[in-house]
Amino acid sequence: MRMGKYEMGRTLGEGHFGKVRLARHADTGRPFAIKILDRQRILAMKIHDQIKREIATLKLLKHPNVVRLYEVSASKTKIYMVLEYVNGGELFDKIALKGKLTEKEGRKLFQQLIDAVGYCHEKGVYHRDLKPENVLVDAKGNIKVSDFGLSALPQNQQKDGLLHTTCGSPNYIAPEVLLNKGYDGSISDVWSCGVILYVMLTGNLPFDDQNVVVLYQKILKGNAHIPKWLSQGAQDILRKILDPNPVTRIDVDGIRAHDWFKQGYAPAMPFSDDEEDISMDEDSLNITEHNDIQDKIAINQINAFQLIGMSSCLDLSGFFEKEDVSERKIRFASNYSPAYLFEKIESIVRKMGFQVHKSNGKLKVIQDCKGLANSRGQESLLISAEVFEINEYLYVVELKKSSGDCSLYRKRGCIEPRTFGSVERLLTTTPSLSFI
Amino acid sequence: MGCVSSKESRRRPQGYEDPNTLARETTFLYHTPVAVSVNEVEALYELYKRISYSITKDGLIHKEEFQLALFRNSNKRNLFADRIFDLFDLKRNGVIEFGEFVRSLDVFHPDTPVEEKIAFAFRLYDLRGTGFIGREELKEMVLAILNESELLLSDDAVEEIVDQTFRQADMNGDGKIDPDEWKVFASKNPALLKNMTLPYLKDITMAFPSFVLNSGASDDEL
Repeated sequence: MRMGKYEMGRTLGEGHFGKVRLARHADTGRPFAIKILDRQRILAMKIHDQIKREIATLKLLKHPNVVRLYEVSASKTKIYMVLEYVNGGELFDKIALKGKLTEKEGRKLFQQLIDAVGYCHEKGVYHRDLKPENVLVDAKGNIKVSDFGLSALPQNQQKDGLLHTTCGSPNYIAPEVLLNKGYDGSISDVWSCGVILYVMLTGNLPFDDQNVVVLYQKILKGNAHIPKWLSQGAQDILRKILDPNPVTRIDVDGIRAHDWFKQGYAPAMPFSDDEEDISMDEDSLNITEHNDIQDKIAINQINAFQLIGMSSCLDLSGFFEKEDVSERKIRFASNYSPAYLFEKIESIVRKMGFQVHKSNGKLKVIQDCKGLANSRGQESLLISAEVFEINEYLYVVELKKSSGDCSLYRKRGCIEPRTFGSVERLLTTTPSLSFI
Repeated sequence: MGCVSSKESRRRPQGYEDPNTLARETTFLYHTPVAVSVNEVEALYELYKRISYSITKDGLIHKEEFQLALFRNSNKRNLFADRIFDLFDLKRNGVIEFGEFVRSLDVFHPDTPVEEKIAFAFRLYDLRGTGFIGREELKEMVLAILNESELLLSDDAVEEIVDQTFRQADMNGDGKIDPDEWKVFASKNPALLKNMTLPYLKDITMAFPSFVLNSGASDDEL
């Protein structure tokens, strides 16, 4: 059986709304998992908004520890979601097989879990159903978080900024979710991560009872028995995560800063769509000496049609982008040399707390928000500066936002993201720079 | 081919055209099997609906709606905005229907042959529709972009950039750029066609997932 360019194989699993089948790309032979949903059942159950939300959620997420959605297709009767195939099984099976994991093993997987969850939170996505069955392990032993069917995007929040739905698996649900008074999705996910960590390190659930009412009472009390044979660090982090009070519970930042967590921690980098994107390690961000700036940055001579092509009115990406074109790029003319212009841009943006990097004939400006871009796996704000020569006395400077979610930076109280507006203002009001 | 029934098509708003037909006629078919390309056209219909119901709500894209979608401003008067709208309006009746929208966006698909992109760009810059680009047209466009970007250049600088470009492009020196000269010039300067490709069209089904609930593609095509 075929679905477009995919050859369907065996069934990997079945759920209430359909099944997941293994498939291979007809041209490349690469394996994928295809989730096949029954459209009629979805419409009958009135969960079409949830399905749309699942697709909208998954397409935002591009991280090595999150199962990736590659494609969506549909017919009159079915909806097909082409997902990354993870061939190592569930974390649940791995724990069941070994009984429990060593602290070193458990910590490595927990670090990846926190990387994945932290990344999703940065994107405004909360999982809300984290449990070992939803955490897959690939052939190399790395974690992949799956099943965002119950995830909540920010538009599910009410005016108080809290989520107001109860879902998820009883043993892993945070106390505030059970109380259904509205909750912060990120803090509730942290609780679930804590339960998973507890299960990995001990082989048991921290809260369990065959009677659901009793189970809920245990969760609400939050008195998990933390074995003394665990290291002090492990005991401490578990205690801080399994705090029934969401206000005092440790958050993702706190977990990342915890000594036990930091041991052997190598944060995963999210994938980028921008081919020009650069790795965020310190070395690559060190700019070379100013005297060779002209060697490093090529100046493109521009013809009339290239200048015309810069018109924002010829840029149809506005159909697909949230921001206006003018928020993504700005340009101005100058009769100062490219070397001077680049030097000036560099000094201005450095003062504004940016980092600078040169590549592909462009000056790349990166917003490193309190060092978060390096460690968080969040999408950093990337602005490129390019200079075009009209004639030997006249240049056009174009500042363009290549990637980055401006809302993240507003939310974090970092530098106002329309930085290129500020750069332009500063450059064009500098006495030594005339605005032609 | 999973066509829409006549009863259903009667309920379709004006401007609508069957995705199966459109998929067969466009690049969306070149790079994927039929049903998947139908899905891509269906996803484009979700975008089309959003634009065509933004102001007049009649299922047709009017110039104000087109400009609102692109520039978040329905009153923006600009030479290039008008040119793009006019090129999308294949029937020249002042509105863009769904078929026109898909066929026009098709040029911007990453998999569309570069020759088609070159031809579209030529039509875009041939302001008077004379079959060639004259020196005055080029100057008019340069002045329009300078005005739009608030780039202040002297008359001499404008003349120089127009002259320099004509020296490169007008190979037979007759004072105008014809389609063959344009083809050679654009091939040598691929940066000219940068705006002629929209990477978003590769993943259009992911951008507008609502189509999954309205798809008319038949199962045997999948």
